Amino acid sequence: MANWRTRGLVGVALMIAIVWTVTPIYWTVAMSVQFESDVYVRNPSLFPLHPTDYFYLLALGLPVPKGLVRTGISASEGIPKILSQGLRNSIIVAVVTSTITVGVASVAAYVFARLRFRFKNGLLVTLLASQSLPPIAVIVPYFILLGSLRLVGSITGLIIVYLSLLIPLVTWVLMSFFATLPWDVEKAARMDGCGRLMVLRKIVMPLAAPGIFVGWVLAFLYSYNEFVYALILTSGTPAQTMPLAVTVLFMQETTYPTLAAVVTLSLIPVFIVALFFQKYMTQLRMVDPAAVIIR
Amino acid sequence: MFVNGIFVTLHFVADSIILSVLIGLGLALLMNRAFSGLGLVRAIFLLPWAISEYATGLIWKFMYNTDIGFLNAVLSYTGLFSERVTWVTAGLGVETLAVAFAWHMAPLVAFFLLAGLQFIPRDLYKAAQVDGARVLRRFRSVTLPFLRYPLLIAVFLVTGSAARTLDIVFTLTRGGPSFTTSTMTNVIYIRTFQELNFSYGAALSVYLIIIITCLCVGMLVFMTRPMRSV
Repeated sequence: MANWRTRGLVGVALMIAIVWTVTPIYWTVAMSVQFESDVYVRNPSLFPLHPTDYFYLLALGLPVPKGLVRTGISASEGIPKILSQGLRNSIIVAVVTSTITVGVASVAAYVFARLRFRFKNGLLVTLLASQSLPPIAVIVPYFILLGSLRLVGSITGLIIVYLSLLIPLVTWVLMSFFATLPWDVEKAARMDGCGRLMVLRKIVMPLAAPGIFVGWVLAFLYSYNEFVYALILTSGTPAQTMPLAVTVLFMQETTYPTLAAVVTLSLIPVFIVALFFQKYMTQLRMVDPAAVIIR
Repeated sequence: MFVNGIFVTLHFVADSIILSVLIGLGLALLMNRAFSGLGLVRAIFLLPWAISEYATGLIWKFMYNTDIGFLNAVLSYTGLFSERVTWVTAGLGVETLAVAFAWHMAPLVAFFLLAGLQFIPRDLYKAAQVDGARVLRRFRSVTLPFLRYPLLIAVFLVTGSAARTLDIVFTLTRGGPSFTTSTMTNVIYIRTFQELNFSYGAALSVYLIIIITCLCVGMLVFMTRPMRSV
C-alpha cells in the first residue's frame, strides 16, 4: 500500500524533474521549426502547429524550397559562413587544447598522486587557486601579454590561454582518479626492474585510460563552450569560436526562429558528447580532493 | 555602479546557491532510486550541465521573452494572466538570471550529491524505520549527515562559479535594465572592454578577487563548523 504510493510520488517527481530539465530545450527547438506567423500570436501554441525545416536550411545555407523564398531577411545570408567558420575554429581549438591538456595533465597528476616531494601541497593549492579566479578579472593581463605577442584574434592565442586554465583543472581531476588506482601493481613492476617511465607507459596509462578519457572530454567541452576569453580575445576576428558566432548572430538577427535554429544547431555536438559521456560521469570522483592532499 | 554590482552579485550568488542546491538535491534523490530507464533519465538530467552557460542564457532568453516566451505562453494558456509580463523589468532581473543559472548548475550539484548518497548503507534507513523515524526525520538524521561533505563541495562550487560568471549575464540580460542585473563581472567588462579603461578594470578585478575569496573562505568556515550532534 505504502509502496505504490511512494512509487506514484516518485513518478510525479520524476515527471516534474524531466519537464523542468527539458522545457527550455524543447521550447528553443519548437521556436526553430515554426514560422513567425505562428510564433507572434496572442495565444501561442505550446506545440508547433505547422512544423518547417525552413530555418535550418537557411542557417546551413542549403537550398530553400522555391515556394518559401522570402525577401527582407538579408541578414540571414551571412549565417552559414559565420557558423561554419565558428564551428571550424571551435573544433580545432577544442581538439588541440584537450589533447595537449591530457598529455601534460596525466603525467603531472601521476606525479602528484604518487610521489612525495617538497612544496607538493603548496603547488596543489596553487593549481586550485588558479581555478578560482574569475575569467574577467584575469583577462586583462592575458590580453596585454597576447597583444604584445600579436596573438590576439588568433586561434593559437586562444589555445595558449585555454591550456593555462585547463591543465591545472584536469590535473586535479586526474589526480583524484590516480589516487583510486591500486598501487601494488606498480610497486611489483618496479621490483621487477621497470623504470618509472616504463611503469607509467605499460601499467598506469592503460589502467587510467577511462579517467584520462573523462579528462579529455571535460577539456573538450570546456574549450568548445568557453565564452569570456573567446569574447575578449577573438570576437569580431576570423578566429571567433562557435559561442561567439552564435552570440554575434543574436545581436544582428531579429527573427527568433532563425536564432532558435542557430542555437539548436550549436547544441548538437554538445548533446552527442553528453549522451556518450553520461556513463563515465560516475568515474569522476572529484569529491575528495582533501584526501589527496593529506596523503 | 561597482557598489551596486557587489549587491547584485551577492543577491545572485545567494539565489543561485538556494536554487541549485535544492534542485540538485531533488535530482540526486531521484537518481538514487533504482527504476527502469535510469540511464536515459541520467542522460537527460545531465543535459543542462553539458549546455554551457552562454547557451543557457540564450535558451532562457526564449523562455523569458515577452512576445514569444514560454512563461508568457503558459500564462496566457491558463488564462490566469492576460497581460504579457516582461520578466526582467518586473523587478525579477536577478531571479531570472539565478533560475537560468540554477538550471545549468543543478545537474553538477546532483552528481556530487549522488556520489555521497551512494555511500549511505541501506541498513541505516531500515534501522531508522524500525526506530519509528518518518520520511522527513530519516532524511534529516540519516541522509543529511552523509551529504555534508558533498554539499560543502557543491555549495563551494556554486558560490565560486556564480560569483565568477559573466557568460549568462552577458547573453541573457547584458546587465540591464538600468544595471539591476549588472554583476561585478559585468561592471568590470564594461569598464575594461567597452570604456577601454584597463587600469580601472584591473583595480576592480582585484576587488572582485578579494570578494570572491572572502565569500569562498566564509562559506568554508560556515560549512565546516562543528555540527551539533543530532
